[in-house]
Amino acid sequence: MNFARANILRRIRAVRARERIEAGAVPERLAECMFAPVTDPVAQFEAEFVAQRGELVTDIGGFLKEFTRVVCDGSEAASALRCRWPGLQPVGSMAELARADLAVTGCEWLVAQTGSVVVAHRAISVLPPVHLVVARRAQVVADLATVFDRLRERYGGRWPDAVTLITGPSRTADIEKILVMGAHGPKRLALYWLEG
Amino acid sequence: MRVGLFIPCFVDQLFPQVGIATVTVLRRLGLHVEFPESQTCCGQPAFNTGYWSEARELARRCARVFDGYDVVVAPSGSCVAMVRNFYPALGVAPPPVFELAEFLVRRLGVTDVGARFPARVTYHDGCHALRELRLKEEPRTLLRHVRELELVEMDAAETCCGFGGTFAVKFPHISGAMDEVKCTAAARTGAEYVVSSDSSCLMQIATQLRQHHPTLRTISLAEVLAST
Amino acid sequence: MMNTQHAAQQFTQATRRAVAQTERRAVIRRNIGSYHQKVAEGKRRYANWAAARDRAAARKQQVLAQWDRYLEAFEANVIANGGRVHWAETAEEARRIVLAIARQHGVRSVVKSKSMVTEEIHLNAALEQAGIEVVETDLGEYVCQLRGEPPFHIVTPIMHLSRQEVAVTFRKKLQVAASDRAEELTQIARQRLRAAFLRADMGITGANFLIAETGQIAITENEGNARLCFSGPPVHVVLAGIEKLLPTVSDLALFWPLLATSGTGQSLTVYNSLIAGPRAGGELHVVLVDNGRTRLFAAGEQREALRCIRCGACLNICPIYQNVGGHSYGTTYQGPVGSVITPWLRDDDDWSHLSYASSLCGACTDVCPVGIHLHHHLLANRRDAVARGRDAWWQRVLFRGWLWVMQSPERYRWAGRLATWAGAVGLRGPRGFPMPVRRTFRDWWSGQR
Repeated sequence: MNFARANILRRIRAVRARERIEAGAVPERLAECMFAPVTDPVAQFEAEFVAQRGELVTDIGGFLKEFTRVVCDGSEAASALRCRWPGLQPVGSMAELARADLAVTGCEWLVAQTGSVVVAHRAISVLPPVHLVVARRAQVVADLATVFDRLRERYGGRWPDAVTLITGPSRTADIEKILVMGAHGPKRLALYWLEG
Repeated sequence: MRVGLFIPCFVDQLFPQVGIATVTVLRRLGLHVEFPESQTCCGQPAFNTGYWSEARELARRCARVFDGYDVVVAPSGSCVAMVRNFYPALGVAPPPVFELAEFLVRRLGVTDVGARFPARVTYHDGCHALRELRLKEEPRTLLRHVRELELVEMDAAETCCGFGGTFAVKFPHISGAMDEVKCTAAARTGAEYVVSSDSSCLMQIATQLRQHHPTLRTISLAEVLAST
Repeated sequence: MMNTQHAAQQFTQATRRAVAQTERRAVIRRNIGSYHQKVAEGKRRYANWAAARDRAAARKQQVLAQWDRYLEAFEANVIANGGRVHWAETAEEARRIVLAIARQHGVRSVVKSKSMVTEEIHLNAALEQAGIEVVETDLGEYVCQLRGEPPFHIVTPIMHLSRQEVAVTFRKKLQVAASDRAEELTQIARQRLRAAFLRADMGITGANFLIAETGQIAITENEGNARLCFSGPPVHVVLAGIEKLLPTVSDLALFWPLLATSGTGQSLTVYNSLIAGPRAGGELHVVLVDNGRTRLFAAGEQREALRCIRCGACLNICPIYQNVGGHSYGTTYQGPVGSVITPWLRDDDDWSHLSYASSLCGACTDVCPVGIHLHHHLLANRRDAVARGRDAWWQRVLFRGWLWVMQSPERYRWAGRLATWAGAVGLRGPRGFPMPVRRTFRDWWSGQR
């Protein structure tokens, strides 16, 4: 018998029965108080992504040559890349991921306003020291509010067990507020546009 | 307009010159001011220490004393904030009180009171004036119109000096540390005077200045405005 | 159990020591100075910061207005997602729940990401006592753990340390040759902690927000350690205060940026994750912790503090915190919000001395991103402390006497004269403050008529 649950809810209800807890009106239109509106989504995404210390990759062949142990996820985007560069290994165990020097993944959406990448996987984009996102320009949405709307449309009542909004490479400023990249996650976050 | 003077007990007993300067400035503007002599304290010390029933007695008393005035003017942001912002929490309707700079600039629309004060000064925002009454520009506007006065801003002008009423007595070491930070910032401006609307802040600041920055002095906004 | 005198006295002693450490205060000032600069830049990105904050306040207040319903909705959705929900009324009960989950899975090694509620319930000590290894993986928390110190700040746990001090800690505790470069120190921690992630069989995280609509757990971080905590080990345990709720996932379009900007000045923290169930083949447990939160809810206007999103802004702006530092408080939550909530969260002592340890400057209220009137709640706490008879008898007598004096202009005048005479024979006010003058304002007023 779970007494804690009953007791906690009972105490809350007792207060609510005793007095009305004011719930103020919520001012309308979130967009009007947040960041500047997006006019050119792809251009703004690229600018924000770079401002957050992301890298835009144009020469994909040259980029991939830097790495020897490359893992990728099962996304359509990563597969498209794998057709051309067969060295990409599909994702394995945590230990395997920890040995890789590059992770190549697809993504759900890209957020123009904040330069963020939305992914629906867990460890693959954290363990290797470099993360390459392969995406199409059509995946760029304006802002966070739109991302949540799109995710809701796509997944309805059944959300992926993990969704992460990635905004730049891993970092810490715990020591004297000095910014250090690559705390636990990747030191570098790169993005390559698939055409079409 | 029937103008009542509210001279906080603190000013009355320790810094009467501030009250006198307030009268001087208001009279110079052609106002007839009255000082109801039955006034004592607004109740803030009790209120801030948690003695709300004692504070309520004095709040009621204060409201009675100033009943019938169109405006009540006080040279203290702290006491005005107590009356205007905290009397309602005690269930007492506040009389129409104004801090001096607030009254001059917002209510009368006066920015030049005809003062002259040849010195370099820096302004300390009393916390109640700044954050309870939202007075930031008003005192500065008045100071900028004082002849031969040079106003220089200090770093962290908005940071508390550490007085806080009974706080300064209960936690003198913390209060003193805050005072030290404040006065270091004030001294860095090269000013000759620290000016503020609140004499309690100035009393706190003067304690530190006497020991560590003897060339820097304190003066109330009212006294600067009264100087010619 | 501590008695009232004890906690208050400890606070006074600790703050006396803290203000005497001028170098430590300079480190804190430097760190906070750079924080304020970044936050000012961050706020400039908002079209209307004040409106954003009003909105955030209103959304959190809506949760409180129907708190029980949001809790039930959240619970139902976690279960529908395949997770389990546990309720804990006290710290002890929360510890017992986590230990039971650990035993059930034969857990030997735990990795943890930063979580203040686990500090609040002293979870690490309980796990260690049960023979389970616990590793803090947030860099700052890792350093705290190595030093055997509690976090100095709810967001930036080692903001009081210089990099030289961190290097000394690493050399001593990890037996490594470490320079005092932040980059190198971070790399050392990264390598050490990688091994911990790979061997752990349970990951413990906190929660920044609990989404009632979807049963998701929102976790915000910059380093990636929380993602590793919930991605590697098969069992993920989330500990969360019951006030962490938000109505819908779309609310995060406001709260994620707001938390980031108030916490560090960023537009968004690097990793914002939403967990909606266990990983494949794993388990997800959510432990909802009350531990005094419903007591705060019953308190009165101070319940507004249950909106708190633990961004740390009120600590950073507080001139008391800046000068006495986080350890002086002796509480899990420091600074203004800690002083407001601790008397309600903890029943081992009165803790109202913290409400008095404030000059009531109100800077905290101005920066709070969810509009908590922090300094007014400190006043309310003082009122409630007096009402509960927690004040000193002499203080009560003093204010009675003071009221008697102030109720009559004649008594007031005489009290002033008395003080003037006392001053004339050499008595001074506290800290050398002046005594009343011979000729008061009212003397001048009656004289000029």
